[in-house]
Amino acid sequence: MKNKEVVVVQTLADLKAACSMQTDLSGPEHKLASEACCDQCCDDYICSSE
Amino acid sequence: MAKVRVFQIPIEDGKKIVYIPELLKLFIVPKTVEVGNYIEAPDHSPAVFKPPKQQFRRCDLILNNFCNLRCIYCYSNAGVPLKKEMSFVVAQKAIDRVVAVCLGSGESKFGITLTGGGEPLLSLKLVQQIVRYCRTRSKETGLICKLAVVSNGNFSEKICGYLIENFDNISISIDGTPKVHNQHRPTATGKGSFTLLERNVDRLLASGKIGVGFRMTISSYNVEQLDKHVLFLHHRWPGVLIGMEPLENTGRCASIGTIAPDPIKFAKHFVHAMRISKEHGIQIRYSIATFKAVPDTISFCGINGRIFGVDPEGNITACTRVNTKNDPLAPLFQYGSFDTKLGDFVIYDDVYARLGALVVDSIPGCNDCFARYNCKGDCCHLRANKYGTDFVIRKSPKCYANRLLTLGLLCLALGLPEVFKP
Repeated sequence: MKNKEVVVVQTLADLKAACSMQTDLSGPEHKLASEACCDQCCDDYICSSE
Repeated sequence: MAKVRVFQIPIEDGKKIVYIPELLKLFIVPKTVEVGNYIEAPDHSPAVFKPPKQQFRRCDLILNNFCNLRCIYCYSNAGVPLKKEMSFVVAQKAIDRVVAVCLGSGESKFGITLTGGGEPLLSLKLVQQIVRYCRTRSKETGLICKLAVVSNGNFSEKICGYLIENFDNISISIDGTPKVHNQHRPTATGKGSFTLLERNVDRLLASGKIGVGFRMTISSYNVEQLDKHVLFLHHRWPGVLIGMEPLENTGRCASIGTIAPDPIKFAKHFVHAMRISKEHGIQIRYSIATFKAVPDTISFCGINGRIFGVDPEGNITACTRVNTKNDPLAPLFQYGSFDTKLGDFVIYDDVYARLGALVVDSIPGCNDCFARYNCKGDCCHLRANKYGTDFVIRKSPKCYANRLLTLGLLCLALGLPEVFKP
């Protein structure tokens, strides 16, 4: 038998409802990390793909 | 109804982070919230991974193996082996191949990056031939040509002017403050290389005509002051993108002793530098510190058949660090060569097919790791050096550090306090 406090989450909507904090890594505040170039190489960070 | 993979990482105070890489979403929930390994995301349409199939829209031309610097960590050991330079015919055929793909697939542009096992701008005559040829092909086809060069920044004023007029982007290798840069990157005569680089970067940026990016190499000499080096570069040249990679003990680095940074130390200092960078609006990058929705991130780099690199000998390489057939890793990463009788490239289809397996999905030990879409199995060159042919299924030797780094970035993204102070 499950503890009464346990909340079972199955959908994204449930998760959003159960969380105390959330963030979207595709948002502008994370642009610096997410907007790497084509990820083809690690040597020419600013390259001909941009 | 799409189901997406969920990863959970316990943190303090009876809470856990729930990370959904495919949706690029992060949550903090109480530990009492039960979440399975998958969750239903009704509005999500899963992206489909498309195998590369030799559809190269850009090319890395590794023009030579000689250099005017003697960087203490050079992976190519540039300057030591017999001098080699790409023939113009090889460059032409590589460009033709890229142009043909772009025309066939309805692209509007093609990209050519000039790089080196050495310093590409020492092959100036060849560079000028390539630029002219790219312009000609661009005119003939209507495709826009994007030209980029990777350089150590030690070139003449005349070459600087040439770059401004002819190139779209330049990546300059710079390792931080003048002191550490000169320590890392002396000239062939043993002098510092920062002063000339500084003059050229000033001129390139002042022109406003060419994109400039920095590429830092991190060793045990600059890892502990990483934030200071980043701040120095930012204050000296505000707004320039700073990419960085920790060095490997290969090439000259392997022969002079261990100066590769301790991976855990690097992870801690990188996350700290990232935090400082965010506060100052500085753009820094590191291969593992990226968040992109799967499936585009399943391989660490373009090693899985997306990189079309051509070395000075005319070999096609998936790893620009492997730029001679004499490299012990050449049989793993070189998947073609220029046939002088045919006057064209011959692709080794068996090797190319094997490259397709160089994705994180091939590593059983990464299946349940929350960092698998960030680390992506880490650099294949690093793993192949460590494990030989077994590398395809082996986890990175820096696995723990990569998880630590990813956790640090997740905490940073959630606005949590720094979990580990460097």
